[in-house]
Amino acid sequence: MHSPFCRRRCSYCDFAIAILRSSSDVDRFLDGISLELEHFGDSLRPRTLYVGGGTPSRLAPADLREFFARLDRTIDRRSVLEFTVEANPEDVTPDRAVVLREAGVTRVSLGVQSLDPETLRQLGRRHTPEQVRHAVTLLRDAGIRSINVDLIFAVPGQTPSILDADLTKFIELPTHHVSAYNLTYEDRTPLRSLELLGRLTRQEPDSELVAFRLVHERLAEAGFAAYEISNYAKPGHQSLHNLTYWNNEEYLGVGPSAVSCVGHVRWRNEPDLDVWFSTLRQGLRPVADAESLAPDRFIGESFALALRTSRGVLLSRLERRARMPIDRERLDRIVRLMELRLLEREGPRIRLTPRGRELADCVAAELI
Amino acid sequence: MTSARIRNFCIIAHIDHGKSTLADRFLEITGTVRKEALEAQTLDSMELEKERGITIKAKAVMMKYKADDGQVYTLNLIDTPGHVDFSYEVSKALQACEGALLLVDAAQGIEAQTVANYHLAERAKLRIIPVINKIDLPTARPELIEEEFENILMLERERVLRASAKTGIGVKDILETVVRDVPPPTGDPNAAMRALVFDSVFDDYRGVIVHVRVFDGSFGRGDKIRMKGVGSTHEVLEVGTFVPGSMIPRERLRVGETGYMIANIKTLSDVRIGDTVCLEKEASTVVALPGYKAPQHMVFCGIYPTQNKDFDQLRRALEKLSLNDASFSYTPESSDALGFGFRCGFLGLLHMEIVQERLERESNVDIVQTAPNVTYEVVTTSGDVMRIESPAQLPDASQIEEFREPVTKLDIIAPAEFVGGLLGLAIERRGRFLHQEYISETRVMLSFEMPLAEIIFDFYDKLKSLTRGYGTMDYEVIGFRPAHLVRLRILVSGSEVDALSTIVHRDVAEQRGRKMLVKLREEIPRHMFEVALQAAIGGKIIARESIRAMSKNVTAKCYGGDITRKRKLLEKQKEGKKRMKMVGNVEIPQKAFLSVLGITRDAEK
Repeated sequence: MHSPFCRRRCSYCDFAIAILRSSSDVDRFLDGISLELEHFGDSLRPRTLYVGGGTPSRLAPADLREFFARLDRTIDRRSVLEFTVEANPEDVTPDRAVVLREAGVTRVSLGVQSLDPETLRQLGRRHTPEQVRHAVTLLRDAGIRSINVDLIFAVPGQTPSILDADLTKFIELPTHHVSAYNLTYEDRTPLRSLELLGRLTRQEPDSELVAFRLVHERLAEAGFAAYEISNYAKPGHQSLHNLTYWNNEEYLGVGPSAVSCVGHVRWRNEPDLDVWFSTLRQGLRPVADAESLAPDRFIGESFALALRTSRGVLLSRLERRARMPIDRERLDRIVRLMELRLLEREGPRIRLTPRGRELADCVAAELI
Repeated sequence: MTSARIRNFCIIAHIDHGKSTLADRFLEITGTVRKEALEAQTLDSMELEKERGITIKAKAVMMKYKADDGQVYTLNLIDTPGHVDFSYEVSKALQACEGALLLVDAAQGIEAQTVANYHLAERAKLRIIPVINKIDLPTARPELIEEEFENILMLERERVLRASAKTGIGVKDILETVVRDVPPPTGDPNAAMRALVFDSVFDDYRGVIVHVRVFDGSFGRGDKIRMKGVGSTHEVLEVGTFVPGSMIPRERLRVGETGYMIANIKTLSDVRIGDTVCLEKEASTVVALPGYKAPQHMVFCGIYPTQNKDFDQLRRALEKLSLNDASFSYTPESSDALGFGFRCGFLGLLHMEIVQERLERESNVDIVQTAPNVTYEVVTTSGDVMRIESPAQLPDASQIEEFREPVTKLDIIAPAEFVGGLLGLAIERRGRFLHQEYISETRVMLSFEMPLAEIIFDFYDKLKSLTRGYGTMDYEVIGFRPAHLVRLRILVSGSEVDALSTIVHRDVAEQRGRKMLVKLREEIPRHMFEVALQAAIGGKIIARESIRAMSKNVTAKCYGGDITRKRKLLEKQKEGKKRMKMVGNVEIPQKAFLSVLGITRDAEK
């Protein structure tokens, strides 16, 4: 579920967001979610729920409660194993913590990004390290089972020692999961504009590699295992929801710009809140674009996704799901990538080696 | 008309010294062409020739001139190519003449090519009339030029004429001197017919038009003739003489005359310059005119379409071009790196450039030209002599007894202040100094023996920049000499890249190899692994470079909303790889081959 509202846009963000201006925006969002869910009938039985955005935590406690209530009208919650909500640290108040707990949220993902004030400023984030610690305490006290913190590294000016100190602070937080992202410079973001204007210099690939390795090493030492290229978890705290993406399995997305994938068809909702809502009001599906994945494309894409995970690809399972054998050319390439020690065999599975993880996109381009 | 009142002559001049303007003046004075009807430079008909200011193909023009002695003379002006690449064609054009005007610019002085062509004319035993042109120029220094004539060509000062083709000053004197000094053609009107082929052009409607000079006897329409050298037989459809822009048919061409012959000949390759035309019935008894040679290709390069699909179009363009230029050859070849293309042979470097420009202009195909190489000779251990036109033809090193390369005599004329720099350049290029001669107080002629391979590799550009544009050069291939030559191999990740191997002198192999590796390093993108680049002679590595492995290439975030976009990016990346050439595990972009093999041409040449 995509809740689009943000207070402001962060410097690196290119998501479909809406700046929250009036309560009528929220009403339309809530009404739209109800309309969209009605399309799927009243018996959805998902394994996982994920409310992301945008910033779901920008909703007032009452609106948040109303949002969860509307989900309950069409979703059978008994099947849900994991229920994640994204939140900004500064939004986590005692009120909201209570709402989350009462709604049955099991996992909260906090947009921390850094615990270094200078790095936070660079990224255009408003919160303080103190607010982060406070949020984590509140969530734990509220009984949230699993807490994730997002981390961004390779920020301009961030030396290895600054990053190292930042990592120490992350590890000291009593959390269960870290999503550690190399900073990216997406088109049409404030960050990219600053780069184009020459006001900041992105880190060299070599320094980014040093940072990537440092993150991996420090988190591993602290008991966070890398189960995906950018995701680290303590045992039992992997995100089941996100694993469905990497395993190229089925999911339904609701809300503006949300993406769904069912039966090898993928579609994306209208990103604009008003367009999304008015389409739903007309009784139509708010689909902006859709594509059907032919078996060969499905196979290529599945390699690109599943190789991101530490479990890698089970060839026999992939063949069964694609309903076709993996072609000779791809098998030859796999052998070649194994010779280059970028891929390795782990039982019946194929997965990236540590060096392969650093070049995951090159490997994926070979097999796509 | 008897041959006593015929004068066959030509003009020898450096580019831009005024040959075409003088020819125009002759046409005007003799009333052959009215002034207003004159194209700017009548004799240079090809657009390209006009632009480059040089004449590629010889032409002949007949003029009637009433001399001061009251007699009317037939003057045949035979145009000659100005560049030494065409020295064989020049020598055949000279052979058709009894006299030559040696035309020198009053401001520029004698240039290297003028000297070379003068020696050709002397060897052909022509009567030489020295003329200083452009004496109307404020910068004219005719006394200095006369000194150069004396010093370098041993021509007496008193015989040197002064003229301005532009204003017409002295031009009539030149014609009078031609009539008076150039001997009339000799030859026996009753002997068996012999005519020299000194040029040929292809006409879309009439086939090959053969330029001939009759040395004995006469012939005309209906005669069955034989080409002595080629051995083909044809029936003559028409003979005649040239005036600018048209051909005038005649009954017969007689002893001493120059003109044309049309005999239903379909391709230029059936006609060899220097061949002897005789009557079929006398063919077995007639002795051929001296000096016939098949064209010698000394410089080769590969010409490839940049797009493989254009191969057929390129082949058609080359076919068409060869109709007009029998001295260039092309044979299909394929290269691992560049796909399908042609190996083309040329008389020399300028010839190669002319062909390439005409191709680009006339064919609409984007082409890639590889760096040129010369023809080598290899004597094998079994005693056979092989001609090597491409590194791929080289036998194994163990079978090579001797490796020979073409060597030239190179003459350079330049202001004296540049002698030091020129000697340095020549030594760097394996030149052997022969002698130096002051042609005037300020200008020097330097002579070297230098391998042709060193000249075709940007030597002319270096000479020009070293002498601030004042230096001129000329060369003549004087034979093959043994040299310490090796095949330089380029290896990428341990696999040899055939398309990049070259033949070089052992002394420069390391330097050349390193240069190539540096270029490759710049053009091959970083891979998932380190890529080793090596230059080797046989199994011995003489230079190495490496391309570091890519440090990191991984998308940070990949969730539901990112998947389609990411897949499209990866698919694009994969598409890009398809256009690269795989050598072992390494993907080499076409651009890398071009930067190593391609040559950049200098527009002002």
